[in-house]
Amino acid sequence: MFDPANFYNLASQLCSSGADETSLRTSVGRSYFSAFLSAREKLDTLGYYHPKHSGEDHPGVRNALGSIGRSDLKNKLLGLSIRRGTADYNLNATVTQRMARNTLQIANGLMPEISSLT
Amino acid sequence: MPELLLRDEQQTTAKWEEESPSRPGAVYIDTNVLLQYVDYFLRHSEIRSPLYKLGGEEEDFPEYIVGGRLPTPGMPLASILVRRWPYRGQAIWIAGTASELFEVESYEAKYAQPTKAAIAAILSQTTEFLGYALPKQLGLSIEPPAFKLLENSTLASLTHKVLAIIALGKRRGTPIRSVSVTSFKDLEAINFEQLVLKVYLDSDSDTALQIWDNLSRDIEDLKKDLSPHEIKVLDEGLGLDCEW
Repeated sequence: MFDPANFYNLASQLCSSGADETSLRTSVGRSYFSAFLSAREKLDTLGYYHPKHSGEDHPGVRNALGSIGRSDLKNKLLGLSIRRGTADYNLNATVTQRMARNTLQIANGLMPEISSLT
Repeated sequence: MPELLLRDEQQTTAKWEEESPSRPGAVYIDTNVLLQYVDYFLRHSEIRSPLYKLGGEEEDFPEYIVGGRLPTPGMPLASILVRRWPYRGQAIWIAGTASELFEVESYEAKYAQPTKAAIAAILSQTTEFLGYALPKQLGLSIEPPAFKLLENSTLASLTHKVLAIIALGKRRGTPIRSVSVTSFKDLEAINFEQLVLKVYLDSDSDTALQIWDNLSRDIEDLKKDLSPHEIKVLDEGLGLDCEW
């Protein structure tokens, strides 16, 4: 099975200094999906959330994190989702390296927390 | 900052109408936006003032009178009158008095279009006057899409509680620059929209991420005193984002 953490590695590569905005936007998206998919799978394994494999899983995973008392993870995933929404859909916004790096850093902190959920 | 017109309450409408055309620097804001804003903050401020809407024969001349009280029982703090002048269409009138001991003062502005700067200008001058410190303390702004979500009384009440947590963090030294209440639509989920409190921080990344965690845990602690319904709304309808 594909490990969504690989998306984080790609996001990191795309965020190198001098990267163009296309790379930065893609980096933001991959950062989000590395955390989102990791959380979805972990919550499924633990029985806290059963994926619908549709767009409903985006809020569904966050809600599940909140319902198990992890508002910290819920909010971080929300922050990633907001940034990813900007990067993927908002052509009028400028996605900067600072934003991409911050997004990467949020995902980096989130991944081990998700892995350690019990 | 746009000019906010100030006048004595005893001025007649005729005199105001006579003078108002010569006020090109007046604040411009949409009446309904301001009404919602005033309504929201007066209902959900730390003082929790009730809002009374007067109806009857004045249906085409709606008035909102709000009485607020200090924590000391029976001590009047403020009254506010928000009035849509029938003769001026978009005009609105806000009057307030700090107590019976102070002169009645009133703020007046005529409005046409909503702007964030105008809302900020109104609040910066009225919230302190009326004793509603929370918005000013947090440099609070509300994005128009959030207003509709705030019509849900449970969500509005929870928003106030979360803002109080953020304000407490600021009083304790958390480097919070400002807070924005906004909404987030998940474009890949059907009919999904939630309220987001976006906290702007003056800090480096590591500190910001730690602050985000701490505030989130403080919000989680709120659940101890909430009903199951409120907990569900908090989990699903309200989020915290941080920018630094």
